[in-house]
Amino acid sequence: MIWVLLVVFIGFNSFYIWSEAREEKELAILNDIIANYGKTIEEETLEELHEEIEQKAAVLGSQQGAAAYLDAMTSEFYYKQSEEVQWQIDELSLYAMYANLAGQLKERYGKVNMNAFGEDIKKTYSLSGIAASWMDRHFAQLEKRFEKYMENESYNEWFFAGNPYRMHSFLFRSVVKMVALEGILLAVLMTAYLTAYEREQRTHLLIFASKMGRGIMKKKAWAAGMATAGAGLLLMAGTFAVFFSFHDYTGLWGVNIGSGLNWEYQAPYMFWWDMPLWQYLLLAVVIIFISWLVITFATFAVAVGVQNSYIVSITMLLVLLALFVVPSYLTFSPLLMLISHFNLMLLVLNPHMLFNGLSGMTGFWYHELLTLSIFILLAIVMAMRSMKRFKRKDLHE
Amino acid sequence: MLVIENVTKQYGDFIALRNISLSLENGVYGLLAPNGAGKSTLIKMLATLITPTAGTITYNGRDIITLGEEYREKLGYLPQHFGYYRHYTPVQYLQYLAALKGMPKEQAADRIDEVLELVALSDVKKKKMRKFSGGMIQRVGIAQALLADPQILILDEPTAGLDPKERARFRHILSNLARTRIVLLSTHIVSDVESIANEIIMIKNKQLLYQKDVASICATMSGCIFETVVDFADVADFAKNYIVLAEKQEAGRMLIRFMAEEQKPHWQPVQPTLEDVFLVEYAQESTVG
Repeated sequence: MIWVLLVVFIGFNSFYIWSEAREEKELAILNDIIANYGKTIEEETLEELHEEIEQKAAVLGSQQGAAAYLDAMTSEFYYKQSEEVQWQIDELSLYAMYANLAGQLKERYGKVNMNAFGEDIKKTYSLSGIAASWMDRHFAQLEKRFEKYMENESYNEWFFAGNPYRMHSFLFRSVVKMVALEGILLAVLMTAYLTAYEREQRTHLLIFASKMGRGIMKKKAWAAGMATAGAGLLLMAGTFAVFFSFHDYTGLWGVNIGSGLNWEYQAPYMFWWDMPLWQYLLLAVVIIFISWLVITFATFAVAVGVQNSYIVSITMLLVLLALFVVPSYLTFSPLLMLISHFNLMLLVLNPHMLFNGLSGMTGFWYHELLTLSIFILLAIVMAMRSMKRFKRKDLHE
Repeated sequence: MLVIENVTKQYGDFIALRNISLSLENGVYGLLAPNGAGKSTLIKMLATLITPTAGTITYNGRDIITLGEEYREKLGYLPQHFGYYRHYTPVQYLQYLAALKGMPKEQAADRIDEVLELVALSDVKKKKMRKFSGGMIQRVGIAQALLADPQILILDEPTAGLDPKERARFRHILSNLARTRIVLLSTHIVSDVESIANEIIMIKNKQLLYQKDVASICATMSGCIFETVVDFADVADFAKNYIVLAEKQEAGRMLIRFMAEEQKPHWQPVQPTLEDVFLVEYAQESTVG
């Protein structure tokens, strides 16, 4: 049954990726740019890029230069051209878009006002007292990070244009989040099934009176962990294989995820340190895996006591849903709201916002580490307590 | 030696067993009581599935809970109701249980063949258990209890679902095994233990009533069991005054076996059986478990 679910999930993810896939030829242009001009945007290379754009415009017969040629472009003219010429026009347009975006980065980031973001968040969440001071401290810290970011010109690296492609959101907010959710479902179902298996098959009296006895529960905990890790690995591998076969990231693995071009919406991504795309993806995967394991051990702890896979699965899924929803209902207490954002579900369901200082109440430095540590500890304590109780528990039919 | 000392099991205000003391050495012990008398509670305590509220259970002088694995590896246990994996064959099922009992794989393979032979399931050992009858499942249960050649064999209602031939075969197996180990057989079917038990343990009102051999228990009713013949019309009145143990139609009248404190004319005294004692002792108790 779990195998069927796993296959269904991978199939669904593949269909989703296929239906939402960005135009491969368009994305390939950025790989060409990186291959020709390097991953860093520099004045010299940007100049060379502009020259290449002018050459491309000349090939298309432009006398007044690329900008004028594109400004004068009409759909009537475009659709009269052959497919090959149409693609040349598209290519020119995309090169020009990248060059323009790259040229505007310094100015765009120069207008960023970190304090304004901070005030905005305080206003949005009506923060006061300790919560407001916490947020002030956070933004003071983030301001320093931003200064360093500007000083190092960390924004000056090539990346898929945040607007229109929104590849960061597509990969992490849509695909990785979907995988994370599916993994949670698999982890809960498998763990509840494994832990309550003997009881539900009514073999528990035989098993717990055998030499191994109740010690089998410890092995079941490991088995549940391994099952979660294995299913999660297959789910991720299957989904990523499809995603990266549709989207060529060849030249981008070493590019800073905090590139200015990766600015998708109103606020830029302000990651706490400059990190290449591969590192971000790896960290997101590791965080999701740890979260799955935490959920596995929490489910195990509940299942050891309840011994009914249906009740355990439904309870756990409701608890996890509540964990995700509850922070938004705590508006009456800014402090409670702040505390409630150190929340595993917010972490695992926002993989596009990891390590991002501008992610509202979850943007704190060390937020991920602290949240994971709290929940790992919680899961370990829960599992150990329930095992301890189980060792003394009377077992009936 | 397995010693149960002043064991009480209590669930809130409900007392399941009160102050039970027993000692078991090699041999067959028949634990005889009606359903709901606390047999399964006692057996589950011996199987370490539940812990006594008070008192201790020791094996060779050491507490069985403290012994843990060391005790359970000497234990073969058949619960009254046990589950099985429908898609497993008896061999697969026993292989899994052998692993949990800590048996090496090679040793387990030979032993599985032996125990399946013993319970006459060799010819279906590779058939899926979902097609088995209740009696066959019960025999698989017996096989698993015998699997690790246990020193203590505890069987809760093992003959349920077995036909008379299988019951006889099973009694023979137990008699042989009991020469070198403790066999505790819980049942409410007197004939299962009457002929093979070295001692009978009877529990009444949650307390130990007897731990004696069959003859000694029967002797407690000596001179109190009679037979007489009455008219059909008088049977109901007779049953109001005496504990009726058996009835049989004979030549247009009813032959009644019953218990009474004193003999009257026309009553034929008879030798008490274990079943008589059982019926008399539990005459007031419901047999609905």
